[in-house]
Amino acid sequence: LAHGAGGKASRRLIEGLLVPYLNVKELNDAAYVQADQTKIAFTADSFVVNPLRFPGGSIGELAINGTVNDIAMGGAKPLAIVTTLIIEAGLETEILEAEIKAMHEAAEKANVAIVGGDTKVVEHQKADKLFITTAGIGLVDPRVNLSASRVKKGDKIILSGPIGDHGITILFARGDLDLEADIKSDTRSVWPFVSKLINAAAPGLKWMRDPTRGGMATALNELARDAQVAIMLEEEAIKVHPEVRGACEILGLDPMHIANEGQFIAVVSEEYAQDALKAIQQVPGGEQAAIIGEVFESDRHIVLSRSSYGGTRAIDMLVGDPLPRIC
Amino acid sequence: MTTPYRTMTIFTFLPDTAICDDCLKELFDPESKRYLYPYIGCPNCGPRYALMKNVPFERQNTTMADWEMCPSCKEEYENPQNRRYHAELNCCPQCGPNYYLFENGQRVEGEEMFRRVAELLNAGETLLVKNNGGYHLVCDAFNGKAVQVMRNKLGRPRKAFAIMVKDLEAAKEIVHLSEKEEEILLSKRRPILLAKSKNEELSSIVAPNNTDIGLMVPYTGLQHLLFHFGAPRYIVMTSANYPGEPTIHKDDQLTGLMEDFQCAALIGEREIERSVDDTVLKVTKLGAVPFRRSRGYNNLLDIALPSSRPILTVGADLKSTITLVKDQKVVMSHHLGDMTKYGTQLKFERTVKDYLAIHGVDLSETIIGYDLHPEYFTTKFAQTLEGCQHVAVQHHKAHLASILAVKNKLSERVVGIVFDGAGFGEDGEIWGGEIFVGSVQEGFTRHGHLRKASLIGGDAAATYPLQALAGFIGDFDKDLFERLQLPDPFPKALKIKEKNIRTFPTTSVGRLYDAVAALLGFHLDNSFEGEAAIALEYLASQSKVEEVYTFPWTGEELDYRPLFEEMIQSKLKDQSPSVIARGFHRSLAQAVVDVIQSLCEEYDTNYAVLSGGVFHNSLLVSDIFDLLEGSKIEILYDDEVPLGDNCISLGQAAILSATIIE
Ligand SMILES: [Fe+3]
Ligand SMILES: [Mg+2]
Ligand SMILES: [Zn+2]
Ligand SMILES: [Zn+2]
Repeated sequence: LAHGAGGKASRRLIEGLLVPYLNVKELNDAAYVQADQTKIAFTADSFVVNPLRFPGGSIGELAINGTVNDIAMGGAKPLAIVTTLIIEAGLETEILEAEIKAMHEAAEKANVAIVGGDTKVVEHQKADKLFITTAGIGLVDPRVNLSASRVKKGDKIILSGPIGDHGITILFARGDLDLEADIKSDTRSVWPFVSKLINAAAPGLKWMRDPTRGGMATALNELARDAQVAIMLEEEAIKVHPEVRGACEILGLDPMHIANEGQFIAVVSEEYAQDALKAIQQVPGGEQAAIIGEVFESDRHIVLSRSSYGGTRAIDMLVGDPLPRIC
Repeated sequence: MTTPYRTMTIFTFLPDTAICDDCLKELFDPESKRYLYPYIGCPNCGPRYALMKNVPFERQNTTMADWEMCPSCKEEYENPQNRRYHAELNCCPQCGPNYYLFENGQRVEGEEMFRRVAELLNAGETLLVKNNGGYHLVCDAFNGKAVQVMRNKLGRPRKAFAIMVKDLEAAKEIVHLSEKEEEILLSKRRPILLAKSKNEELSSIVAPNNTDIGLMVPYTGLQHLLFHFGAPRYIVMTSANYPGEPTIHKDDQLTGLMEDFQCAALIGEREIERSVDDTVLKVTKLGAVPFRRSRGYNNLLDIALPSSRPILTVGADLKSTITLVKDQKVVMSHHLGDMTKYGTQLKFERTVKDYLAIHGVDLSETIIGYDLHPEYFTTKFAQTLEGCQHVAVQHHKAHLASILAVKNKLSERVVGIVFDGAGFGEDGEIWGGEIFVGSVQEGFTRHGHLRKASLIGGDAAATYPLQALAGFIGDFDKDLFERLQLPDPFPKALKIKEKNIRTFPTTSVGRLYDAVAALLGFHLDNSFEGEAAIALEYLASQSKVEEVYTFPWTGEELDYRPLFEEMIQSKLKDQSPSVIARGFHRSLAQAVVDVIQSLCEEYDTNYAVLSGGVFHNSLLVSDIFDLLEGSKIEILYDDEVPLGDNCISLGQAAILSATIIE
């Protein structure tokens, strides 16, 4: 199995091998469960990251925010999380303790309770230091109706802030690479933004995704495919920190393929787009949100990106580590 | 090499050719009914491919279908005695399309139009002009300010612009022309010729850091009329597109550029069916080789490739062409461009569709060939085609096979040297300095290669020559770096290499060129493909051979380490960069010759083949020929075959034809 990097390969794995055995209608960050009168968003995610600690965050913090964000992407207020830790024998107690603390703090910040969990210790080298799985539930806001099938021509794509911080931070941390001083992971809960967004624009809100592995390019390609539409992005509207852009240039990477842990993409009808944007921008940390593109009709379900000069590029899903191709 | 279309046995596209002498005479004859009429033409001249919607070439299959001939034109068309008998595009000012200048919402026509155009150009304005195969952006080539505006607006800081000159006499004033070059400049195909500049002022404006200037002479009635009415004798004539995008050829695509440039447009009423760029070629010892094989070259090749089924091949990704083989006949498309651009992808897909439909090829019977690179757009596209068989072909083997196909030497055993930027290798690594032995029929064996270097940051190494350099000398002694004082991204790249992040092994000679250019002072980014290599050739051309460096062939690899060590020592002794650059070219040529001589002897052949973009370098090629003088080894080459990736689809087709047995 070589499906780790997100994007096309993992999509193929999920759809080809897993979905046929599961009761899944639409592949989203969170699933919905109806409990009497209440609609609940339900999700689980596993976290493996090397190194465990990196500028701006750690695996414990990711494990909380990742699940909180998946719930938020279902238009739901995160309520409770349970967790499983798989610990490699020999891991120092201080390291473990630091991660538990990080989980606790992230949960407090995100206003969600960790209500239970399980711990397994496995033999040395049967795991890499620490794996964390979290599962969570949230209360779906009755005003939202999210589905790729509602996405139509003219809808606007809103991005919550600069992209690529997390993925580049991890890449540098892994190699102990001190190329660019000021990059740190963007890990955070996005629920405060989503909550305000729902208040301001619920009827126009159609689809959300947090662009983690595979980056924005993969999330939007999945949208284009699921909604049977095409997407035109305005390259200049997509914010990238100069340090991240510099790192991408020297590494031959496209920021659109880099993972994020504290950003989300929302598709909002044209009518509600400005209200939605303002609502996000008014939450501290959301100032750089922007409308980055628009949905159009085409029999090719693709993602394009237009720049003022440089023309229009086709943005493909990430296939793994991009190979050199310039002759 | 080309077959005149009259003798063709299958219906196919016809090449676009320049206005003929008879038509040109009539154009300026006040007695002629087509006096000063831009759309003058005859059965012997004019556009074809760019206007064809279908085959055969008959009026109803072209964009002229909707224009009805007046009685006088019809008379010419039907009279076997008239030289316009069956001139499919026949028309005159009475019945045909015409040109108008669209300026600030106003339409200006007739002679006034031409005078206004000349006025605008002389005043330093930029203009959009519709030619046979698409729009061009035009301005006075000696007007540095006008050209700079064009550079800024197109995001093209340093890449050379082609110019159009009034006539041969004007050409001779700015470039050196051999007899062969004169002939090519005036040939019916009328390409852009890269010729050695003798005008520094002009070079510094249109082609900085470049030995050559790319120029062409008028090939349409309209272009002759521009000069006739007083346009500057030297005008920039560059295809109207943003870098990598297809050239604009429909009038309704004009608004964006007109707004960006705040300029007027000279619009022709005759529609263009598909954009066809100008061909760019250069004469070296390897022939009159097209860099970009396009206008004038859309013809059936004069070769046969045996195959019981049709073959469709889709080439590479940045300079793609497609090739179709049907009934052993071979049609190769024009240059399609950079497949990362969406517009180019559409153009490519349309070309595939056109070629299949127009030649009546059934996809389900067809063998599909594509590059081994899994991430090329063309590869992924080819894999979705419902052909009867899909075959991936290694990039550099396709390079070699293209030349052997046109030389009709599919079974000949040769020593093949392919030097280019990058191609996907059979071991999954990035190749680009490859040495093969074998034939198209029996297959090529990789016998050796440039010693592996590091491609740091993947494609980023192709953008930043300093980064390429770190990939070659990164393992050298650290205090050497301190003495060399190389700026960023060199030290950054060293760190990335050290941590082995996004660092690929490569044998690319393209990157070797970049690395040497960086060592000798080229610290910019490559703002266009080959910029550093072209600058290095320019630098080298200013010196004689004073130093030659050690660049040994071990029998398995060309070891660049002593080469760099000696060049660095020379640089630290303050030797002039120009002498070192010249020495590098000679050393590489010597290495190539050493390989050829030893392998030709070992494998008992007298034939060698050179391909890959690196061999566009005329200094390198002439050094190789000089060093081989007196030997019985023959280097095979041909005017029809590009050395760059425009050749890949043809090479793929040759390999499929020779190796697929049912
Ligand atoms: Fe190549
Ligand atoms: Mg997730
Ligand atoms: Zn003629
Ligand atoms: Zn007429």
